[in-house]
Amino acid sequence: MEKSAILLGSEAIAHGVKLCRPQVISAYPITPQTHIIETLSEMVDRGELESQYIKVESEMSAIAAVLGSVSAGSRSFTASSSQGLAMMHELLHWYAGARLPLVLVNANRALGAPWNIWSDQSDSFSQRDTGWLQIYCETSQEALDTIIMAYKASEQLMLPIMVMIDGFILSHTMERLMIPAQEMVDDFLPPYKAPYQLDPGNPLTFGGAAQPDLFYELKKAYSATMQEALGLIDQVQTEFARKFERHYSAVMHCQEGDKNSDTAIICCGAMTGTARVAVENLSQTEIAVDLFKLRLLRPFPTTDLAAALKGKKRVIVLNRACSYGVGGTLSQEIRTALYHLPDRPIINDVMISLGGKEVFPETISDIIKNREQLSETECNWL
Amino acid sequence: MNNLKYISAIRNGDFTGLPIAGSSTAVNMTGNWKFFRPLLKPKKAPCFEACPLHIGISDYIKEFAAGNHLAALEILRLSNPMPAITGRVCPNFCQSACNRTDFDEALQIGNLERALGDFGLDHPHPGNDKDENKTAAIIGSGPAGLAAAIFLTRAGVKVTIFEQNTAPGGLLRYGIPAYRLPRPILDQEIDNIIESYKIELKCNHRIESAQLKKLTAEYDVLIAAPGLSRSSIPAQWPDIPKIKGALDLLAAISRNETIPGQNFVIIGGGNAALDTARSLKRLGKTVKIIYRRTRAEMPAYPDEIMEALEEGLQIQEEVVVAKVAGTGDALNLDLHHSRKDGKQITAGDFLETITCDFLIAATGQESGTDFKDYSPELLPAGDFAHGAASVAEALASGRKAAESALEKFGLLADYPVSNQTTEESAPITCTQLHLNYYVKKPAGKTPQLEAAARNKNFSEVNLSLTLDQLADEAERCFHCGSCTTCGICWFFCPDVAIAINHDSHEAESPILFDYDHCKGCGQCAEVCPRGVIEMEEDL
Amino acid sequence: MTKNHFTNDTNWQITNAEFMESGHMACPGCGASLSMRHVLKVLGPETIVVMPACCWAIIAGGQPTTALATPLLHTPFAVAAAAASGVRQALTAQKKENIQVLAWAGDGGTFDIGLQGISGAAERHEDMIYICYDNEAYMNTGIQQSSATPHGAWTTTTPGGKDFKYAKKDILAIIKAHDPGYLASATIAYPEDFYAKIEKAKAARGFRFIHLLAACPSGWKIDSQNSLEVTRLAVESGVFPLLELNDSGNIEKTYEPENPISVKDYLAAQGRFRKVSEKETELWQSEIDRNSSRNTS
Repeated sequence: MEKSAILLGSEAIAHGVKLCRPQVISAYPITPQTHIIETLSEMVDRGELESQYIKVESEMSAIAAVLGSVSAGSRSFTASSSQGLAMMHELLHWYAGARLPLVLVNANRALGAPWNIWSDQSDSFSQRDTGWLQIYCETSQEALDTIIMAYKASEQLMLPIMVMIDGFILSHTMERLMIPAQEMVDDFLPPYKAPYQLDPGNPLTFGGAAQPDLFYELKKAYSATMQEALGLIDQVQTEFARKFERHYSAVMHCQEGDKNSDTAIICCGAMTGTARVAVENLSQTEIAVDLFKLRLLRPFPTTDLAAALKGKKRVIVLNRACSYGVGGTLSQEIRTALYHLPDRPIINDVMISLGGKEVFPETISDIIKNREQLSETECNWL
Repeated sequence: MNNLKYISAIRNGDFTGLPIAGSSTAVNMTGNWKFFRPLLKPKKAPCFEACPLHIGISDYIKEFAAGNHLAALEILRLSNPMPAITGRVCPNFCQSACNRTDFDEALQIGNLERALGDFGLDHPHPGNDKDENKTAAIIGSGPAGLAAAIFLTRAGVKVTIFEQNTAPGGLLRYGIPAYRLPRPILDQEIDNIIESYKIELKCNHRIESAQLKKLTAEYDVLIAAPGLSRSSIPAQWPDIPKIKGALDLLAAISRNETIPGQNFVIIGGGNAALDTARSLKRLGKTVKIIYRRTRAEMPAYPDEIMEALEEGLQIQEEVVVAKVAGTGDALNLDLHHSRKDGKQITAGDFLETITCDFLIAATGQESGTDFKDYSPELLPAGDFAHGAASVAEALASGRKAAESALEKFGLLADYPVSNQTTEESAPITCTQLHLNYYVKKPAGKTPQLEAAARNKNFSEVNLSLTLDQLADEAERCFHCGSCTTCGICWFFCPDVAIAINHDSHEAESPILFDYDHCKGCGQCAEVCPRGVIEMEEDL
Repeated sequence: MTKNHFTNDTNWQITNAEFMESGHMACPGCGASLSMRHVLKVLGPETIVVMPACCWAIIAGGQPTTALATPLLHTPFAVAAAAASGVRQALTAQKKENIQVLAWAGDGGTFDIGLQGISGAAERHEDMIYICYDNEAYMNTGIQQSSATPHGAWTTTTPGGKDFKYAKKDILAIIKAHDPGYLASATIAYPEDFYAKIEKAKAARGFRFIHLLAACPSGWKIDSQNSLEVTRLAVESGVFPLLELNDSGNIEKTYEPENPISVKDYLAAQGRFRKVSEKETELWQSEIDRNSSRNTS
């Protein structure tokens, strides 16, 4: 049976990972990801989780080790953050190109310099083009559930999935949540059966050189699989909802405003929680806005988003990552997705927080209240 | 949802569009890259070249090493029909030329030949049922005469041998002592030959020069191999019974005649001198050899000299007998130091006078016949043709006479020869071999009877080794210039482009180069221990 | 099985089975391809090969072909040891202990960019064989110097010859400091020694490291047919001694040249050392003499 528990976000993630029974775990410590791997270490140490834990000497080796273990046919897990994820960058590309499944949890954190360990989505947003699927979570429960769903989707697609939580905001805060029963997870997520793997009985070579034309074809197929992934993720989330009664989708309509509301705000991750309060508070002042959270950044749910935001005159995008010289990274994504609509809304690009700068409900409600003053072309810094 | 084309493909085991490879690179014709290609180019071995008989030594040793002793014997007999004999008495020109000498120690080819020869004593020659309706008469049943007879009968010629002595063998029987060539071996080898080849042997049948014309008329060809059966006695020595020729004495010993006298002085440094001296010693006589030059300059085979010294034989070097005097019971010999006068040796200062019962001359040989102006149809062979030489050379000479006759008969074409004989190139030298990947191994030397035991009788000095005991020795052969399928080229090919054809027949190459994938790097040629692989420009 | 001719040991047989295919992309006379061929002959089909960027990443052939009849995982440059660790741990999880994991990397991927990962894997005593085929420069990218390039050698980034201040990194000493399960240097130019060491590595457990010298005709400026011979001279001159970690924890020579040649003869056989001066040659010779006396004491 599912059981209720009060857990740190990191612990919740560790429980989610444990339920998925990875055979190999490889990770290198970095704040604020450490509690995840510490908890997993304890689980392995206590014999609760039967897994080979490889204590590597760097993030590059962490991702390389799971490249090896998954190539050899074992479900695996790794986690990182910030500088560590950046150090993996070369391997992130390689891993995706290798067409292997994996779930990587990234605790979002700012990249130096200067040193800063607080929440910031620049680390994962700057890995958008590596070919990984990216899912951003609002709560620890969502993160736990998403890990289970991610393994299923990843192994169907033979593509790696990065699951994001906001460093500290989720990783280091307690939350009451439900831990699904192992039997139900086992039923939902059967053991990984690799369609291809390093096997002396059927010797194959992985990742050998490809000439330009073949390379192009491989990437074309990759891109097509990414498109198929949108549908498959939907399917997995539906299946999960049927079994565990918690509903997730690529774009989630979190807070309905007035029927005639023509303004929407959109964000990713834990900030959604704060935004919920802000929107709720505002509704009492008769300012109606719709709140959306974007769970799936890659592949980008263009159709779903366009459908969700259809008819809106204004979309305020709250960014925790910046593409310097352009503006909020999420804003670029939203803009691109809505460009084809006949009645394009105004996009207000708001750089609400970087490096853990605190976001209060008032921060968000003030932005909404003063929306008319927001620039429609430039990035709006507070 | 029904359009998950790539995902279903993967699940169905279709890896199109995935970075996965599984088919062999052998589809790449990397052989296109090469500028040079390896070729198998067998070369002549130095042993083959040095052997007067041009025995296919490498070939028979290959079979020997593989344990195919009968096949080895057949190859050996092709060129040398009496290996049990030559394996004992040949000075082994082959061994002196052996490239292995520069690596560790020469291959003991003589021992291998001897062991195979002894094996052959129980395995008669295949003989020949061909009849080409030609006849040959051969004078003398020494090695040259017998060789001529064998090679002629192999080609279908009917042969009659005329031998003046009571038994065949010539110098083999009447010159070479039994401790070097035991008589049962000699008898068996010759018997096998006579019987296998159906040779008509007429012993006690001396041919005088007056009979030559008649023989020439009766037979299609006449070969004269009467040998050099007498030792020449220096002209300045008195003609007295106490002065004898070495060969006469050896013949008498062979016939088990009683040899009078006790003290013998032998003059000379050749094999005849040593054979006589060592034989006399075995009869309990006191013997001394006097030689005008140094021991190192003695023409006798070095092994013979060494064995003689082991047996306690006295050799007085650089001394000449200037004067022989005395009658009755003793001879007085005036010994002088040798004096070198250019190439000549003359008597120098007086040394001493010694006495002896008999003085034996072993300074040269001469024919015991009076064949002088024989007809052109008479083919000379053996020592009679070319002067005193080894048994192997006599055999070669007999064979050459036979070949001349066969050529005349138009029968040379079918004549079986050992491999390599047609090659006209120089034999391969040690520097052309690549011995980095060869392992040093001690030579399989023949054990010898202890020196103390030798002087008591005529037992064979060199003891035999069995075929099995010599298996390792056979393995030592480099097989210079000839592929043994050792696989070293195969081992070192970085392109997996060499296959060894272990079961190759003569028509097929023992090494198969995969030119589709050979990039022509040339390492196979560089490592071939036998220098058989050469690189040739690939056009 | 083919009977060998390299030893008096008649029991040593070399399998005829090949696990490296012809038609691979190695240059003519490549020491690295020959070495791979024989390493796999010893390790056999129950082997998984992990390979970072190096000449072999190309030699192995382009898709859809492969030069290996064993499974092969290509990885980025720095991570062969880490990826091999992952493969090993997956096999452990799947209880496939009989399968050997071979990390196969060049000198760049070992001495330079991959060193950290190797140190990690060695420290964890990961059960794998790590073989560095050392051709003494970044040959695949066009002969740039690495920390395995010997001083004096020409490369495209040491056009005047690598400065004599910078000796070749002592990789065996580095790995030895990690208490490896097996440690040796070898070259296919000495087949008996080579086979014995690969066999020992195969039989041992834990992190096993073998440093192979592998000639590169184009990078060393030698003719392809001299590839083996020059490698042999490296050993005969003492430039590349054949070593092994013995049971008492010392690195000792497994082969002592009967008639050692001078370093001068080794250098003269290669175009890449053309600019080495007489004084530098003497210096090198004295280094070798000093090292060899240290090894024997």
